[in-house]
Amino acid sequence: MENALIISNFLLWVLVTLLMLAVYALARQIGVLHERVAPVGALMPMEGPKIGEIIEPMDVQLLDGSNFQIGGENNFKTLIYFLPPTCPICKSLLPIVLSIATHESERLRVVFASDGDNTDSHMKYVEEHKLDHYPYVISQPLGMRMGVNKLPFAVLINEQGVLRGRGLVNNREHLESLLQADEMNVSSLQEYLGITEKTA
Amino acid sequence: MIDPLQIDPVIDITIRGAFALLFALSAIEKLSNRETFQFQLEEYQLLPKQLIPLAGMGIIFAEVTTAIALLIVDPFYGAMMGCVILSVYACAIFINLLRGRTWMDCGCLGSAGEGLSYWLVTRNLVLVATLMVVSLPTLERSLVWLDYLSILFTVFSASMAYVVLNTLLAANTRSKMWWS
Repeated sequence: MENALIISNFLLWVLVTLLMLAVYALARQIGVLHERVAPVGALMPMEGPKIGEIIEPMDVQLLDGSNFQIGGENNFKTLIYFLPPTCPICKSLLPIVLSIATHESERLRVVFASDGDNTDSHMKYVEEHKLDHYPYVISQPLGMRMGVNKLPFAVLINEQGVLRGRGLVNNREHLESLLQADEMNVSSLQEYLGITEKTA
Repeated sequence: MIDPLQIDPVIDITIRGAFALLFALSAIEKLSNRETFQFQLEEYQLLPKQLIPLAGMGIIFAEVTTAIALLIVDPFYGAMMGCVILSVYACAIFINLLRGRTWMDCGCLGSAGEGLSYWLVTRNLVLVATLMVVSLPTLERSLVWLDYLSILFTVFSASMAYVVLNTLLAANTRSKMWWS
């Protein structure tokens, strides 16, 4: 009888372990599914500047201490990507931002923006991710001006200094939606859907 | 007759083992990404900037000490230290939730920037309540091999349950961020 109990106890533990592994796999799968059903376009927060608003030239400081201007008229579009070094999702999106920067280098300038006083950590981050060819701005007012409330956040300003798109970006589609919205001259996915419904 | 306030040594050792594992892993993660951890501490905006490196090392030291105390030195003090550490974390998260800084990384074991939520505070409070059980007096009985087997499997299952819960919490917080 005692042996039977020991065996059944052991078997039950093996089963519990297997079930725990199965539950873990399912939980991860739920995470993946959540990511898949994320909005197809960059999510624009309600507060902050409106699309079509002119961004007045704003002087900000680069990591090396030199001045840099954001907004105003330019020869190219500006994509500002907000990435505090503490944000892991921002880091995982970095290769995508860099690939867009390379492919669109003729008409698009990518600017990285962050805040915090610890310059050493920013330097290390820039070095680690090979961002030294790009402007790396450290400015809290910039984030506040653009209404950054969730990260990773991206902002697109066109050649005339007009805000063309901004929002929470979680994957390549979100980032590309900003550029797409500008090319199609719509401010958001909602507006695009509205237009297609009317024309249909 | 069994005193209702006494706990079986298997329960005692299981809880101590699981929490020692939790604190040890957490300390290892913080130690291997010290820069990131200091950034996360800074993000909490609760300490002056000059104190961040010192506080960072202090937290890692406290976690290692707790893990060792729970396992070998003095379980009671280990449990009390663990409760204090977890309560401090819960308070820090709560303060930042009140400030509306829900997007920041909690810096918890295994977190990946999914943000803060009230679930994290609840989780920490449940952990504190569980750890308190260790402070109860233990029954005297000799353990057999089956007890050790139970301890081993329970620690493993509890750790898995913790990981599963965190994975679900992360997915929940992330989807809330998208759809809010």
